[in-house]
Amino acid sequence: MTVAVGVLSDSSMKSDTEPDSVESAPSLVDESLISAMLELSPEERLRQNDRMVRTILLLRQGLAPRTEPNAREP
Amino acid sequence: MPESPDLTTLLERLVATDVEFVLVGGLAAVVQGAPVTTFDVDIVHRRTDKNVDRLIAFLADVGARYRNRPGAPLPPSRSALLGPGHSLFMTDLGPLDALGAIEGGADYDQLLPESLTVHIGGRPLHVLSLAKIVTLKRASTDPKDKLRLPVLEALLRRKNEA
Repeated sequence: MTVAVGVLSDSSMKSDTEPDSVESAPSLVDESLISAMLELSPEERLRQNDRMVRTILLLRQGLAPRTEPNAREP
Repeated sequence: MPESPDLTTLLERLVATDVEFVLVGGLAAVVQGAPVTTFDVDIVHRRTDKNVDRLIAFLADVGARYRNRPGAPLPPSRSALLGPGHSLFMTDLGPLDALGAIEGGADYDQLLPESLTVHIGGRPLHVLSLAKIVTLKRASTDPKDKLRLPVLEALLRRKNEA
């Protein structure tokens, strides 16, 4: 499973009045994240991915007990 | 899933063996600079008797067992690894998918010429090129691939401009 973390930069969020065509839409990618990753070595990029995975798993574990009571509500 | 998966060490240990493989999937994109997060190691291994035996020895070292299979943990199947199917393992260091072939039936021999070599822990690692990954994702119908594609295309554009 892969999560795209570079999609939808704040500046790319569309308003209701913006056109829908892909050609005219602003970039959906946060280019600064790409720049940051390109500054790292391949090994550093792997370590960064591991840190992100651990963070996501921690967040999921922290979220799980909070969602259980709500799940029982009608 | 281990509490603290370590895909980097899993990959470093695999690279330290004589197993012939090409790294594909999300981690191949990460290695080349994609700002995405992936939870498993995907490889396409060479499906020769000797190489599969080396892969099985490595899998035993990292405690590999099939994922998503109820009942007692099953050890890796030699016949499955010799075929074109996908063997999805959980290891002590995190998930590892050993793929006999990927989209369009592309196997190790077809993918190796489309890979580049990076060094991990001082050892060479064959990684499927970003251009090939983008080509495969463009043809994919998987919604996760569609979501990831703009990031990979932007990265490819940046690399081509550099």
